[in-house]
Amino acid sequence: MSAYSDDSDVEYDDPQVVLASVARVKKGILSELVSDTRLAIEECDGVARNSVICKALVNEAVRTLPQGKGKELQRLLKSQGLKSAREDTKHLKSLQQSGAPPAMEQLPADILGSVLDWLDPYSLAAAACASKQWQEEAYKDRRWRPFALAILGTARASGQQESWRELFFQAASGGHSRTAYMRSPRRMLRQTLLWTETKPWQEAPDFRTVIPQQVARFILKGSIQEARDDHSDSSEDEEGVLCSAGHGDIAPAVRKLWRTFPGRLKLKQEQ
Amino acid sequence: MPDIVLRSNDGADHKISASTARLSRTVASLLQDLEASKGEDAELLIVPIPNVCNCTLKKVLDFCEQQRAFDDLVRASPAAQQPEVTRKTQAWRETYMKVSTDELYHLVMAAHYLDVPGLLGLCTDAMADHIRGKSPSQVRACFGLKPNLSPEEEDDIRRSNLWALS
Repeated sequence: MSAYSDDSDVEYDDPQVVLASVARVKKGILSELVSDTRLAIEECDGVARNSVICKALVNEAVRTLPQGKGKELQRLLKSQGLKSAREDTKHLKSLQQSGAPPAMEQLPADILGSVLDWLDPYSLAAAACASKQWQEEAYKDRRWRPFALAILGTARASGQQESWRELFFQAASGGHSRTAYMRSPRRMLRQTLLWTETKPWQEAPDFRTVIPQQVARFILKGSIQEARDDHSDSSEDEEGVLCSAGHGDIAPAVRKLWRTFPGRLKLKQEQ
Repeated sequence: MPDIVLRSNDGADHKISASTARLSRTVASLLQDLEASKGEDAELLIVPIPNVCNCTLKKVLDFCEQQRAFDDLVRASPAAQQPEVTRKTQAWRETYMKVSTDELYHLVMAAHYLDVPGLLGLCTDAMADHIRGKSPSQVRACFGLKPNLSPEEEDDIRRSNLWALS
């Protein structure tokens, strides 16, 4: 504490004088602490992280401050904290009243459309069963064109009179040998990689119709490298990475994998 | 460029730089109109955003600011560091998108209304994540959909989609 008392003309030999100057400096520092903490509490905007920091600050302050001041700060924090908590609940309630889960079904068609644009045929077909509006949106023919082309190949699909969706459905429900590889869940996951790799309305790149599995493997290989970079301690092979993503977690895993598909051009050259 | 104020529907103000705000095409066109009517040197432009609530607007502006910082970074950093920058942004986006379904819904509506190009794609992708790999009933539960297909219709769809549902 004596470090703070640097008044040069104080007689340090006298313990009374030293104590008095220490007390004076201490008082100044403490009052600054009080005003700073008060400012922090008042500025605290109810964001969870900030209020945690604020609480920690007050706890520290209470430890050093005399009791009266400490209590005052705690009271202030409490009023402020309650207020922000109340605002949070109010906000949440207003969100719920405006009907979040029920409102989901009122998702405007164009937003729903752009959500469905991200889906692979399996999820798209499942989503179509969910409700009437969804079915209308999911069954739009342009969504199925690239899928059908990818399964049947451009040559076989040309000159068809049926809709792309029906073509794809026929092929997928067993008429076509090439669909066999799409059935098992893991294959399906690989397939997902392929479908989501480009936006569905874009024409399927040629390599997808040629060697889907190899391409999938290629994607997997590239992205597993990346996954390893992220967690250098994990030593899973590609299957391991996929297995470790449980059924519910498949989507983020897939997204992570296909996002970083490094060698698309390289692959084309190798062909 | 001067700062501007965006006012959410519950009356909270957010002060941001105009160049950040212009990432939203809706705000950009509103600003143009305002500037035309008030003249270039009007002091502080207040843009009301009528159908976005305070916390959602905050979240959207978070994205805009990050996006702008990222754009600046891309422009400033040499080509060799680009992958690093991209990865950082992706990491940021992944944490950014960790929101509840309610929030996601409001965010996607806000992104649609404000017409923020990158954000809408990010949100719809996150929403698609809620659909991927789920059965129809799970999708219904997740999105609070009422099954409004008649039994015959549903049966029909189910039969034609058996390949996807089994």
